Amino acid sequence: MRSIRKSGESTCPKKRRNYQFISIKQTSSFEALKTLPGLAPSKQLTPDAIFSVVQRELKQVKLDSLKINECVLHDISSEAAQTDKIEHQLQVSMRKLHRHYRRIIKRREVLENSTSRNIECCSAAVTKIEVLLESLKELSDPLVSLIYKKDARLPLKNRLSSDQGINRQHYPLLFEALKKYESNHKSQKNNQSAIPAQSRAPSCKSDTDLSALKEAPGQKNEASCEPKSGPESATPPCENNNSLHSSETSPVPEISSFTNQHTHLGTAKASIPEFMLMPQFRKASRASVITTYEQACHPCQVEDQEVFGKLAGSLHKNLDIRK
Amino acid sequence: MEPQEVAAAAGVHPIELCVYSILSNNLDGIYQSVNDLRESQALLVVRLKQIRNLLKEEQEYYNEEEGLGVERERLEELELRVEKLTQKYKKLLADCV
Repeated sequence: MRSIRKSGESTCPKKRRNYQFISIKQTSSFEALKTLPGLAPSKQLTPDAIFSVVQRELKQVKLDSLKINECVLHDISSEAAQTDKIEHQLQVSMRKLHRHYRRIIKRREVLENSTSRNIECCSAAVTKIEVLLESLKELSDPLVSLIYKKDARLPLKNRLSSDQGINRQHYPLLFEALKKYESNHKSQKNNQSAIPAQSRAPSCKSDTDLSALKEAPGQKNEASCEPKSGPESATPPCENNNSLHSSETSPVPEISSFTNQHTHLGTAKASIPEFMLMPQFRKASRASVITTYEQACHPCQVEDQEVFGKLAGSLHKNLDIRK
Repeated sequence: MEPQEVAAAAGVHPIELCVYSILSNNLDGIYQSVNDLRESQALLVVRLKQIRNLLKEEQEYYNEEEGLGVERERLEELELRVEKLTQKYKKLLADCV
C-alpha cells in the first residue's frame, strides 16, 4: 500500500482522489478493539491518586502499624527494664558471692596451715609415743623377769604364781603379767633345753614351806613392792598394779605370743606339785579356823542343855570371880 | 489460590496479611532474642545459686570443724602418761638393781 501511495504521490496527485481506502470499520480486529474498555485517565494512575482513593484504609494501616510499633517498643522496653533489674540483682549477688568466696579462701588457707601443723605435731607425738612404748616394753620385760625371779625365790605357798585366790583378787594385773612372763619364760626354756625346766620345777617344790596364810598377803605385798622403793608400803601395790597393767597393755603382741607358748608348761608345772599342796593347805587352814569355831559351838548344840547350862554357869562363875 | 482468596477464607484483610508478612520476621527475631536473654539470665541465676549453696556448705563445714585440737590434747596426755611410766619403770629398775 505504501509503495502504491508513494508512487501515487510522486507520480500524480490527481490519482490520489481516486484511491480508495480500505476502512477497518468492518474488520473484526476493530470490533475487538472497540470492545476493550477505555484507558483510565493518567491522573488516576499516580500513586497519590491511587492512595487517595483508599486513603481511609491507608490511614488505618498506618495507624495500626504505628500501634504495632508502639506495642513492640513498649514490650521491649518493659522487657529491658526487667532484664536490667535481674542483671542488677545478679551483679549484686555476684559481688556478694565474690566476697564470700574470698573469705572462704582465706579461711581455707588458715585451716590448711593449722591442720598441716596439727598433723605434723600429731605425727611427731605418735612417733614419740611409739619410741616411748618401745622403751617401756624393754623396761617392763626385765621388771617382770625380776619380779618373777624374786617370786621364785619365795617359798612356794607365798608365791604370786600360786593359784591362791587372794593373789588373783588383790593383784589381778600383776598376776596376769607374771603368768604371761612365766609362760614366756618356760617356753623359751623349753626351747633351749627341756631338762632345766623340769629340774627347776621340783626345786621350786622343795622350797615350799607350810607357813601360815596370814603371812602370805604381807609377803606378796613385799614381793610386789620390791621393785618399788621400800618405804611406800600401803600405796605401792596399787601403783605397781597400775604400772604393770599399763606396761602389759602396751607390749601386748610379744607377751601374748609368750603366754601362748607358755600356758601349757605353766599349767603342767602348777598342776603337779601345787595342786597337791595348795588345796590341802587351803582346806586345812579353813578347817582349822572353822573347826575352832565349831568346836566351841558344836558341843553346845550336840550335848544336852544341862551340859550347856553347866558350861554357862562355869563361865558366869569365872566372870563373877574376875569381877 | 490467590492471596486475596486466602485472606478472605481466613477472615483476614489482605492488607493485614501484607503487614504481617513484612513485620513477622523482625517480630520473630525480637521474640527469639528476648527468649535467649531470659534463658541466659535464668541459667545465671541457677548457677549463682548453686555456687552460693556450695560456699555456704563450705562455710558451715568450717564453722563446725574444730580441727585436731582434741586429738592433740589426747596425744599430749598419752605422751605425758607414757613418759611418766617410763620414768617410773626406770626408777623401779634402778631400785631393784
